[in-house]
Amino acid sequence: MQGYVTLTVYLYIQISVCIRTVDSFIEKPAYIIPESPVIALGSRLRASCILNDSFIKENKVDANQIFWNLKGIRVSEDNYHTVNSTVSNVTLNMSSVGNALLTCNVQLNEDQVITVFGIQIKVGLPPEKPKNLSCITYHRKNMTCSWNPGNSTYLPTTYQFKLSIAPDNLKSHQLPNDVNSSYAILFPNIHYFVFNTIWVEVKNDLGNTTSDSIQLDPVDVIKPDPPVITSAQQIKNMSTVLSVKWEKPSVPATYKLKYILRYKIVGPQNWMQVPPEDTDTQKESFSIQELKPFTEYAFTIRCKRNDETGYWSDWSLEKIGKTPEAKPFRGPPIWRTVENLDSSKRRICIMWKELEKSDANGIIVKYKMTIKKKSSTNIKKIETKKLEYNITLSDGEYEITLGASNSAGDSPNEILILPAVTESAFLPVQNVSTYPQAGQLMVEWKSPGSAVSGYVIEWCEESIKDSCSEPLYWKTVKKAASKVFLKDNIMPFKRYKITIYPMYSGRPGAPRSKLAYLQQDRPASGPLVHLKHVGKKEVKLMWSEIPVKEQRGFITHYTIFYRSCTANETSLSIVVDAMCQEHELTSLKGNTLYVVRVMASTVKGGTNSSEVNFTTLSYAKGEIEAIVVPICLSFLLITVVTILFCFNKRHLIKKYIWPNVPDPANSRVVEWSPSTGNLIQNNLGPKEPMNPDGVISDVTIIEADVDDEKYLSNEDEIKQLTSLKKEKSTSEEHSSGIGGSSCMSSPRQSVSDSDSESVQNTTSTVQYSTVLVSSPGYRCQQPSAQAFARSESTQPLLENEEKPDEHAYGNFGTCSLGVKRQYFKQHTSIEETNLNKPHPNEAERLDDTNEDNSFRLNQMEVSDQNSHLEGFCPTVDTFQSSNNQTVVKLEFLGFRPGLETDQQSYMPQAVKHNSYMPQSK
Amino acid sequence: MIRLIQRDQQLTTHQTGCSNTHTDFLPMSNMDSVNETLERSYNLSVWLAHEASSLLELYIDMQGFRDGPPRIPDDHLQLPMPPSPDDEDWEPTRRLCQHRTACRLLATLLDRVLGEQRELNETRHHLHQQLQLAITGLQGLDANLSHVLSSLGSGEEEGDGQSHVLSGPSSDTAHWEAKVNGYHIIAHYTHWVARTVEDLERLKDHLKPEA
Repeated sequence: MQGYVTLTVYLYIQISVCIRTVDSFIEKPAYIIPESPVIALGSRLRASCILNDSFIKENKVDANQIFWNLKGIRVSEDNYHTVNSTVSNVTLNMSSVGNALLTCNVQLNEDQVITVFGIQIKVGLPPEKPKNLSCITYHRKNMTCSWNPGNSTYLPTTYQFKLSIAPDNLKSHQLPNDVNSSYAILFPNIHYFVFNTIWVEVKNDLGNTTSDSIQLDPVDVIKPDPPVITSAQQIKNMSTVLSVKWEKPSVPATYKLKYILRYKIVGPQNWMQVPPEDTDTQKESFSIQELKPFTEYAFTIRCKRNDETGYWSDWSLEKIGKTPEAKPFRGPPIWRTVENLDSSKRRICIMWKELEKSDANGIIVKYKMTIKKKSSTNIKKIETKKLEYNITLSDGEYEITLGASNSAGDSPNEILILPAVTESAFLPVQNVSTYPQAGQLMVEWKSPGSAVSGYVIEWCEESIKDSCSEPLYWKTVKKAASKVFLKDNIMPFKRYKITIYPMYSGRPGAPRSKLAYLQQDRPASGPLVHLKHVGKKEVKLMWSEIPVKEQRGFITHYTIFYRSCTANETSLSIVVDAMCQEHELTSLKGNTLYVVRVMASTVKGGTNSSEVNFTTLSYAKGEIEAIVVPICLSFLLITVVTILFCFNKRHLIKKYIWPNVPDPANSRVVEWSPSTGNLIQNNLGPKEPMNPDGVISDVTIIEADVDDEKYLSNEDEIKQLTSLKKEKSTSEEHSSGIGGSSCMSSPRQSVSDSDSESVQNTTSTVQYSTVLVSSPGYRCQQPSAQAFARSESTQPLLENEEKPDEHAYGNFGTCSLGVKRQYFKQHTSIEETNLNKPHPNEAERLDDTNEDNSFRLNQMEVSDQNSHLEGFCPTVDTFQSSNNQTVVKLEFLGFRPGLETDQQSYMPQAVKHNSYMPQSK
Repeated sequence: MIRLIQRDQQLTTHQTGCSNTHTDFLPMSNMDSVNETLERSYNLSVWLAHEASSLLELYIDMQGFRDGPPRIPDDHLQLPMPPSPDDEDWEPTRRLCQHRTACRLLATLLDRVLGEQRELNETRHHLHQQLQLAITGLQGLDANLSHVLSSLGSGEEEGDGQSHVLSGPSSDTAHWEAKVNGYHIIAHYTHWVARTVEDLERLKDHLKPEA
């Protein structure tokens, strides 16, 4: 233990020696006077920096090398000067409050600066004189004095609260550092009933000041605690009086109080105050009269010294008291609903409301009702606790009375007259209007006259149009009223039907109704849109009315938005009256997709329907008919005209279509044959040209398919035909004739177009032409020259000729089976018709006066001839024309050429090489 | 009522002394001040008397004197005896001086009791508060009486009460003896303050200006 002490002492001595040694080494190079200045804001500070001699010698500097910094910023040289080699003085204007660091610095050389000393400058304000010193005493708690300390001094400032009750009894209380505006003397150190002299002293480095002193008795500035109401009691047999008792707060003895008592009905009511003179006595109870029976009242009280010194206490806590019951002030409001069962009976629902508390004056234990028919002594009495009564009555007039009873007695009766069915109702109210106001629905009307004793307002929610849903609400209104606010059972966004009945001494007048909303909103859903009709440029829309429950307001209008679906197409809109539920959009584009929606709007906004797409028609209704019908009519007309024309020109047509083909049997060729060469020469000599007119050439093309070579008569003919086909297929110049014309571009190929296969096909095409050339050169031809040639004409075939089906010539006998024919005739002149004289041998069968018969005859002739062609194989010869002659090709298949050729115009049509075999009939 | 005064003036208005009375020659304003101070002094004495009885009951309850306070000779404390209320030689100034002296003495004694009770019953704050209230009240009554006496021109009597206080019980009194002494001091104080109420009421009537 002793060793520890010795060690401790030794260490202490060593540390002390070290500290002193360090102090001796750390010698200040300079110092500033004053060392801790406190400067008032706006005043000047003069400071001197004094360099230590040793520092000067050591660093070889003097005071000229001193410069000053304030808050780290170099002070202008104008503000300081050198007094001598060791002292530099600076003068500064302190223009901002707070602390500032002032340093003295020495410029040792160009690059080296040393701060040799620094001081902290405090800049602030002297304390202001405290003002408005006042005190308040909270009995048995404290006396609090407060004052206005003025502006901050920005310096440490002390506040002394001084209190003296006598020269030899002065007490001073230092305020805590963070408090400068109030001080509280705690009970029981408060000197009651003695004048206390109080003042406040303030002090800081820049000065001190003292407030004005006040002299007060703490009792005179007491703010007492509020009294405590102990009871609010009923007084027997007095339904309008309550006795209120309270306890006064703790105050010094001899401290007299006065009170203010106030009361109100429990709830958001205004306070009523008992006259102060009634409660300024020392009594601590008071009976309040003229209260409402069976009503809860709240009481509260406050107090103050009765000599008006001091302060009012706070209001006490409320005390609730309830007055006893009294008779009901009036009968309950009564109303009815009537349902006619038949002409003589009515179901009446009599209903009434609970009395307001202010009218009931107690708890209603039962209701007493009487029902009496007019001019009858029979009275029905009912006692019930319910609020409605159902009864079936006749169609006469009834008087219903209703009263309420509580423990204190019965109310006066309310009367309701039920008029007879046949009785006409009295005048209704006028000018019914409704509008929401402050969350209530205000119903306003104009009275029908002075005879009205009151009104009944009836309302119900209209969830379906023109139909009121249960329950039915109603209320009675006094006679003088011309408006009423409906607040209960009125919900926003629902439609209500409000009906007003004027009452004439209990007798209801005629009702007047009005629809209303407490608050409107946009519809909950949009209308359901249908397309009624879609046209080319118009569409007719139809939409259903929104259900009443979803309307949530009165529909003011509908807006139809529509747009086409083409790009950048803006939406168009049309506003339609709320009464309309269909509309026709016009001026639309045809064959365009449109999107349309209908917005139903209330005053609060609109709700859109779902979008409906439609495409306008390409043609308007009747437009097609307008196009087609004229065309058809035109066609029909043309057809008719054509038919008529043809009918009129049937002779010509007949000649064109069915030229008279001379019977080769009657041909002069027969005569021209070697055996009859003279004859031919005689008949067809140069003197008698074959076609004297030389104008018309008669061309006939007969196309026929031969299914099988079996139809050929003999082997030589088959060979001849085969060689002919081969010849055709290899002959290019032959392929560009009639058979190669555009008219022959039908599936049926000409012989020249046929390839070898087609040639080998059993069905072959043969074009047959008979050309009578009128050129002079032709006349020069010798009849002996066989003018059989394939026609090189590019004249298209007639349609009926391209369709052999339509011109099937019936049954051509066994040879016509499977044979297709094409019949072509052109350039037949009238004169030529003369050539078509029937063959003398045919005169018996043909009637040359009948054209039709002639037509048929021609067919018959063909048919007959065909029948003779059975087993006959065609022979083909090509006959190249000279320069001025039409090139004609004649092809035969199965029948002989010149079958229909007139004797006078006949040109040899098909001749086997030098072996023409004229057909004899 | 709050008076706004100059501090220097306030300090010089208080004078002490119980030697002379010049009530007949006091100016009216001064009489008003005397009457007002007397009224306050009376109210104070009434309040102190009310609180004193509570204090005595509280003290007895706190000290455990269930069988009643022990009896100790009164001269043990050398307390000043209040004058008889029916004393024919009832002279206002002298009575005021007697009460003032008693106030000072009793305040000193009660302060000593408070110190003792803070040691003996540290947690009995209500008792401490009541004792402090009595002390503060006596100090205020002393100040008021001093003001009235000076207003009446009475000089301060020499040697009033201080000797009694100094001759009181020593600090090394045993706890029991401290409790008993405290009881007698409080009881004496209660008696005195009740007598003060009576005398001040009488004095008020005496100094009340005739209608």
